Formats: sequence, structure tokens, C-alpha cells
Amino acid sequence: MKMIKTTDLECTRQIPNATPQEVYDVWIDPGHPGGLWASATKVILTAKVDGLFYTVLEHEGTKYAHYGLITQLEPGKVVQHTWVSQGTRGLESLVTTTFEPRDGGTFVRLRHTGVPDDEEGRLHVMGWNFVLDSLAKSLRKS
Amino acid sequence: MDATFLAIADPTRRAILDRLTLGPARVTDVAAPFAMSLAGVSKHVKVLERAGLVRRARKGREHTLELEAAPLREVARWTARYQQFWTERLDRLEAHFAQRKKP
Repeated sequence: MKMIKTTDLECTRQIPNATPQEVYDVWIDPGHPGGLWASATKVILTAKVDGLFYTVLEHEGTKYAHYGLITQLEPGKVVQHTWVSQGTRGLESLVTTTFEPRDGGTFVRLRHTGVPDDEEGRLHVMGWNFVLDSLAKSLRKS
Repeated sequence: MDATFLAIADPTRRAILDRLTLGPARVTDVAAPFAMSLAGVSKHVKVLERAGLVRRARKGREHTLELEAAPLREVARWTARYQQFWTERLDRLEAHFAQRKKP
């Protein structure tokens, strides 16, 4: 099987005036507008380690099914699950969200690792970036 | 999307795309730098055409090739979508607590 190049995404937030437990509880709550599942049109979730989820996210009128396995739950500290969809080319990527006490509030770090870098087979990275850069330049001129 | 990946997996085809980012070109001009026959380059061009990355225009007896940018944008789209998705989720998480009354 060919190796697929993957990339990692990361987002962070400092949430003032909230404890890690409070932020964790909002994040994993399937019914909460501030939580992980808020934008989904459907959520089926078993919120425990080795529990599964199914969710549907809509983007520009198209619905995308997402599936995953809950791999780690530490109340007030970590939520980790796999993330599988058309966007991951059917492969298991991993989302790890951590909650740390910091400056009187909570520092949230979300890492989405193993996202296929939209290459099948081995592409020469420099060549690929060069083509995209050249394309971007030519599009800016037009 | 798979046809796009396969098309750009080859260094000759990537070089052809790179040449076309400068603008439309005759097939013979695109083929000139390569140490292969015109027929060999034409096979690569056909792969790019089937993937929708290149289109062929005919002006009289001349055939020119032009770049189609849309499939290349699609390839980069999912990574960008997820970055945006997680950013928005964290924006809403932050907004929830910002609206909450301080104890």
C-alpha cells in the first residue's frame, strides 16, 4: 500500500474565567452550541472510551458523514477521538483536544493529526509547492 | 479528485503544468524541454486533459494548451476546510464563555 503524506492542523484558545472542567463539559456536550458537535446536522454519540460516533456536517449544500472512535477521555483534561470522512480519504485521522489551567482560565489546544495531505502516492513536495505557488501567482495576475 | 492526484504524481506532468502557469502554449513549445518524443509528451498531456487540469484550444491549424485551475484548488480544499471548521468550533466555544456572566 502506498504511503500517503499527512499534515497536522492546530488551533488554540485561551478561555478566561472558566475552569478546564467547565470548558471540557461544554466541548463534549452533543447538545451545546459551544461544543464540538454544534454545527452538525445529526449526531449519534456514545461518549465513553471505545465509544463510537456518527455525525453529519454540511458544507456548501453537501452533507459529509463523519465517523470516529473515542480513544481518550479524561474529564477536565483531554478529549481524543479518531475522525474519518471523505475529507480524510477514509483514513483515520486523530483529533486531540486538551484543557489546561492557565492565567486564571483555560488554555485549549486542538490538534488534528494525520490529515491526508491530499496526495496519493509520493509527490515531490518542492515540485508540488512550486506548482501551487506558480498557480497562485498566475491567478493573482489574471 | 483521484484523477487529479494521479495526474500530478508524475514529474513530467508537473513540469507541463508549471510551464502552463506562464500562459497558454503550443503543444510543441510545451514538449521542447523534455528528452522524449512529441508522442511521449502528448500522452502526458492526455492524462492532464482527462483529469481536467488542461484544456486544448484550436486556432486554425495550431493546437494550444491552457491550464484549468479548478481541480488543483479542489485538492487543497479539505485541509483548509478542516482548519476553518476547527477554528469556528473554538470561536463558538470561546464566545459561549465570553457571554456567560462572571461569577
